[in-house]
Amino acid sequence: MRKIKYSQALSEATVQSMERDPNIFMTGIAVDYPSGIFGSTTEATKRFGPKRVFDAPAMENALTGIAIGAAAVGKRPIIVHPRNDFMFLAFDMMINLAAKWKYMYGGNAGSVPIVVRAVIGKGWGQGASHSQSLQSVLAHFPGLNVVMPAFPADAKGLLMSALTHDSPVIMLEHRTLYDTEGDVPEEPYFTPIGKAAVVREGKDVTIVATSFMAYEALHAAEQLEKEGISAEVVDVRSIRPLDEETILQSIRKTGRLIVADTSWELCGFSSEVAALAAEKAFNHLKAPVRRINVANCPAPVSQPLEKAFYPTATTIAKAALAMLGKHSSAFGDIDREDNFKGPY
Amino acid sequence: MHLTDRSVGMLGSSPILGEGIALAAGSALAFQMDGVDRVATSFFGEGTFDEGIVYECFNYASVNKLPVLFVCENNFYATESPVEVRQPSGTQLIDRARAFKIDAQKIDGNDVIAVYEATRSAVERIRKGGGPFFLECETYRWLEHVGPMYDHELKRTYRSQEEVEAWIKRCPVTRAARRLLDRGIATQAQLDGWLAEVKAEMDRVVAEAKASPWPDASTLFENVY
Repeated sequence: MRKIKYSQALSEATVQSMERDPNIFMTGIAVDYPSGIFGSTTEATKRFGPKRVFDAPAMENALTGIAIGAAAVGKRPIIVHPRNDFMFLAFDMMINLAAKWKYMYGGNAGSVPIVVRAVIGKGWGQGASHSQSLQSVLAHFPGLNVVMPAFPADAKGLLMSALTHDSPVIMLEHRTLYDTEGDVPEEPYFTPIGKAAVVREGKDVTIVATSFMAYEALHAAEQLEKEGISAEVVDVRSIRPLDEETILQSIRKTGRLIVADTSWELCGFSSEVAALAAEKAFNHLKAPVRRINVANCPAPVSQPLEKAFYPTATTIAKAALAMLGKHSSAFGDIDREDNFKGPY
Repeated sequence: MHLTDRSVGMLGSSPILGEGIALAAGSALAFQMDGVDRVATSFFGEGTFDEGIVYECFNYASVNKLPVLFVCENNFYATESPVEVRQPSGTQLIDRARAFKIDAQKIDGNDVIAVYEATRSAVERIRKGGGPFFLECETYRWLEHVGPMYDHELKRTYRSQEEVEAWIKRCPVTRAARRLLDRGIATQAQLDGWLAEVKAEMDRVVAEAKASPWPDASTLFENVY
């Protein structure tokens, strides 16, 4: 199958969806810049022009409300936030209005199918308010769908699903993923929202991971195999709705659980999965659950501090080794370089 | 709180100030994209001017010449906070709209004919591609913020009984009725008949609501998605 980049997969999903549905338009800061959100919006800008792909002032909350208003009368807006931290300014509209639209109006006001794409930053001078990862906060609220594709095929399939979904979908994209490559079918297809994927089968330990951490988990699993440990990697893909069954099946099989997430522990996604294991798979657990998250402080800017802040494949692999009572001196240099040179 | 009625073009109301303004601007954007001559309208109080989203929407509607009519019902109080503690003295809300290059007009909101005429001319301008319009209607809330009582009955002191009574004398319905009588357009008997009709309808609706069954607990999860 043809290999393309994550950014190209997003671009293809956007273009194919916009061809299928003339009501789709895309807006947000910088969507029509030549840089095009890591190239993911460039082709749509070229193909559909300023009537359907257009820049917006920095007015995140109003823009989201405007998208909801347009959706209420038949449009399918895509809003893109070049960094998801700016989306805090849009929480009122996303949480108080979009998430509740059907419920508060008793289903009598139709639906507001907006799609919000937002980028999680990392490295190269991003720092505290350009590197946050808002999945746990947003997934807290009934009425929203929150997805985090890790691989190009899911980037395309989930975006296409989002653009045919009947309720608001928030898609968080990790900056580190845009240049990654993978097999992506050319024809349109729809990855179901609310389904996790077992991206590597194993029998000793389950690693449940979100977004970029699914990559790190796969890399860790390859190294663990050399140590005789068979790790199963579950890419959750969808935070809300959460595919509990796929996660539980894997835990029942391996009896060990590591959760690797791109955000903090406290009240976070990794804690949610740990609670799920405790409630519904307790008797299958052979070891305490391990959560792997960013350090419990804001994201730093300085490189040495960043190194201490972010968990990596090594962190995951070491946790798995410890869980199985093994040690290896070989670990510590398996992490890949991040060659990102910014700024967008 | 949660009103909607698609049959009359009413998309939805929200208790969060300013959300409706963005909704109207968004609907207007969709109308403009579709090239239809529909106009979107949002009704809000002057307390909404304390929210930033108003200015974001004014700016966006003006830049994009959106077909939207912003209607402010200025009743001088946000909940129980008087306008004096929320806006600099001498503030004219129409000036705030004009700062965004939006045409604006201030009228007596308790004069039915004035509201009708200003609205008609604003909508005509918008339909001709004139972009957004802002209409400020001065009016008043007789009763408490939430509930069926007069504030003085509950010994609230944020406004005087005299002030409320002066506004009750300016009741827009009474004034419109008087105008119809004065001009010989309607008779007192007709007015009485209409009043009775409206009252009967209200009584019927209230009785119907009271007689309706409570929802079953099994419907708790309906319409979440």
